Amino acid sequence: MLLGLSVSFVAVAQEKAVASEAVRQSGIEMNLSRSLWFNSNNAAGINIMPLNKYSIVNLGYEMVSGDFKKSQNGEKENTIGFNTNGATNIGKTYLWGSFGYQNIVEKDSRFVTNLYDPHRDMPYYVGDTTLSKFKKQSYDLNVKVAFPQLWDFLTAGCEVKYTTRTGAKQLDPRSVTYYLTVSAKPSFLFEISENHHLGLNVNYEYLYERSTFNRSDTEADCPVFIMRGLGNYTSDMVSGSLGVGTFFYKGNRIGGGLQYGYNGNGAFSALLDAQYSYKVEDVFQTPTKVENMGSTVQNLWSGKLQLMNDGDSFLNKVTLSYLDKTTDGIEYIQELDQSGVVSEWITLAKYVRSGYSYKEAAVNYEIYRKKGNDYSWRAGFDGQYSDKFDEYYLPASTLKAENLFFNIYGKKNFSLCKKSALLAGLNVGYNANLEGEYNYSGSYADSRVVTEMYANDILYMSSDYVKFGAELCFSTLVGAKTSLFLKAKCQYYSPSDSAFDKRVYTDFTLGITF
Amino acid sequence: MKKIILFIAIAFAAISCEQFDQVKGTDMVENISMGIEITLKKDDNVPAPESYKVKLNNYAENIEVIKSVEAGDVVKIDDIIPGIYTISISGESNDGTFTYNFNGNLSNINLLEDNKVMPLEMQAAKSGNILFKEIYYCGSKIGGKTNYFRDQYYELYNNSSKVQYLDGLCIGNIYPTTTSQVIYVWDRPNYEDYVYLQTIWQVPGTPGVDKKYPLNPGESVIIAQMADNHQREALNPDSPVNLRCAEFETYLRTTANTTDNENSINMYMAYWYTKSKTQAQWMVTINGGAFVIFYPESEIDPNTYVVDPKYTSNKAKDIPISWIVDAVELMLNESKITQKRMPAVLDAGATWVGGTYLAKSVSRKIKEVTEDGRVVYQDTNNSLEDFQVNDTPVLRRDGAGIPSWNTWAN
Repeated sequence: MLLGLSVSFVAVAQEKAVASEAVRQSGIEMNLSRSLWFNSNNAAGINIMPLNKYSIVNLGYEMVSGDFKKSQNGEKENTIGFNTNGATNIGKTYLWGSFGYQNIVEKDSRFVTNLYDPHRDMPYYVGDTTLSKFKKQSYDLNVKVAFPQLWDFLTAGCEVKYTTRTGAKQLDPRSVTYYLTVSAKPSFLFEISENHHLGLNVNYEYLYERSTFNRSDTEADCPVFIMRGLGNYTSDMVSGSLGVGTFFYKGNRIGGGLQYGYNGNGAFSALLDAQYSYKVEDVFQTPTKVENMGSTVQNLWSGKLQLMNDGDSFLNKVTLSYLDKTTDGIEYIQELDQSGVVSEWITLAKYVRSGYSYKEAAVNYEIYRKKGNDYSWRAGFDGQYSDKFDEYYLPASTLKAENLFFNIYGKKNFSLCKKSALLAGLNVGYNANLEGEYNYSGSYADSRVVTEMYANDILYMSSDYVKFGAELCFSTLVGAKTSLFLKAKCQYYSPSDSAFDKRVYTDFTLGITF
Repeated sequence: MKKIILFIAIAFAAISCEQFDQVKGTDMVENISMGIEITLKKDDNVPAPESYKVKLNNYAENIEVIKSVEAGDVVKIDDIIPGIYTISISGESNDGTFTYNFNGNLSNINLLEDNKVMPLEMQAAKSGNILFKEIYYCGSKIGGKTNYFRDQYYELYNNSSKVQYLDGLCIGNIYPTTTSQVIYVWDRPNYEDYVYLQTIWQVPGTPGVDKKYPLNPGESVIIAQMADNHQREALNPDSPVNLRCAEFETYLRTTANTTDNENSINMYMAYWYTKSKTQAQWMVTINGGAFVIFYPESEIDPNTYVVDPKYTSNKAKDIPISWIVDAVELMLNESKITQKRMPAVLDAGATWVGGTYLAKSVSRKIKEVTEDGRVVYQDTNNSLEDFQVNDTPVLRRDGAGIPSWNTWAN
């Protein structure tokens, strides 16, 4: 259904597209980058800085391999992905939509039995030590719409995201997990004057994940860890009726933000976007006899300043961003009350037992040498400072990883003939670890969760590394407004820590733009 | 359409608000202190201990706190992480002639408030004369694949310095037969003064009258589910035990899988209301049952029992706690401790091998070895304290003797 909806959407985009020069994949990159409001949380703002019409459909295959990774990621990962996205307008209503599907096979992942994404700020999950294959599928739908301006000062817009994912661990203890998020981000844009705009958005997100556990060999118990954060856990088993029950995750996020945009009469424009959101997610077993496994409370602040000078020949853009995310882990002390006719879990107390903090400040500068709706070359620089600090309060344990990352990149569009072009890109980056340490003083110091999983992950998070990559994209016009492209991309991570060897990402994509 | 959207929006907002309210104001965890108000149950001429060893176990979080505290009306323990704990206290005194061991237990206690004071009565440990010495309940695997459970056994030991007679001794397992969230509400006055058994097997004879099965100090007997050599080819070559030497077996009938050992004494099935015709052996759960041994003070009438008014098919034999000689609670693992079945007065803790079909056993820890070489096992009525997990079950571990009337053991 999602695929049908998305293809229809792209078809609409094509129908409504006015005659324009053919857009190659590289041109779409610049198109998306230059609409500051498109890159904000206020979809209404697309109205004053619309995207050029485009449509793209691509099919890709990605291979990831290497040991420079967190324990819960696969030693090898193969992904087949399909994505289509496009922008158009219907009268004065501007639309952008995207649909993506991924089929992922992770090999030799460990210490996660149930969560689709073990890195999604959720410390309460089930893990085990089996090296296992994990098969995953995801469907992501994203739509932004900006409606026509009303009364010459008010524009409404909305962004809607729908994500559904499913994963299945392939070796005992097995699990099947279903993950779903729906989010809506209505927004308003107020025109103060021709050059100044104020934006307002609110944000609501619903999250649901359900994990069931089983085993193919019903004659063998499967020990698992009910994780509680930073190496603390409760032992349990996937073992018939006495084993771990179905895990449910239910979360709600609300938030909002303000934007200020300046759109000079010349080439200069700027946009400041500040966001705040508050999220609570509960984890429990067995809905008919609810046993709380934990809750998380997250406060998230973010800000982004985009400055752009879109001249005749060059497009210069600077993006400064900041993120401050703090998550509290709440644990419950519960007692099975058997005094009534039906037993039930009674919450006697709940405490904030752990805290997870992540701060990130980033800067990006990029320059495009423009050539119509495309570019002849582009270059850029990324700088990122990140500070992760996790703490389990009692018994006290901490994990800290502070990193500084730099990356430079460039791409050149070579015109091969009248119809064909080759886009070649190179990038090189370096991560310098400023501080990295994991101190555990809980009661499982000798467990594999501490000695293998966390020992590996802190090495990964605190490792200096060099990253370099290259990409080639051959595109050729196959119609008046249609281009076909074939892209190959490779990223190589070379860590300085001798505990790791490398991580290589190789990606092939075949697509069509129209 | 607008109304539907509005309704959905309001519903989501209401759900969010409720969820947000539930976590609002959650306190940061902090260490707390607690006090234990100790009452000693002893004769006036028995001296009180001068210090106590206090042990707090939070099984869910694998927290163990062991402290030595000075005796006082209230002993105080600091730096406790809030949670549900089992508390064990022991102390020792000596009047120059005898050593007195005092023990007290509190099971599944909520330690959540700061400076909470819990009353605890300690008494000189009533070391059972006959006690469970080793239990092998989890079963084993045939060739590492197929489950095998007929090799379960229970070893009983004379831990005293006097001859004990096993005639009429009963062994039974209590309801629920495995840890469960299902509640059994037995229709009985003085409900808490009894345990409720699913099954009772009895050594032939009348307690206090017959003396056919004496057990000398330091001797033990084996009660086998099936007193066979489980290591033979037709059964399970990978079984850890040969139970041909068992003194007793809980034999029901001969089938393709079960045989009657002509030497082992068949115990009498005194009560098993729910037994079906298809059952050929007394297999208790490999997840860990809860067991008692007792001498009945009157004949066990299999036709009288108590019922659960809600589930009338549940019928149990009510046995007074005062009859119980020893008790042990077994469970799958520490995650089931909140579903403890055995009254704390009989067993404040629980013990487990940590899985099923592991071919492991639990056995009592040695407390001391007397000058004449007799092993005395620990019996504080807290099986977490008293038992250890063994990688392999061993019959008559630590050199326990075989009773003289067992002529087929060697």
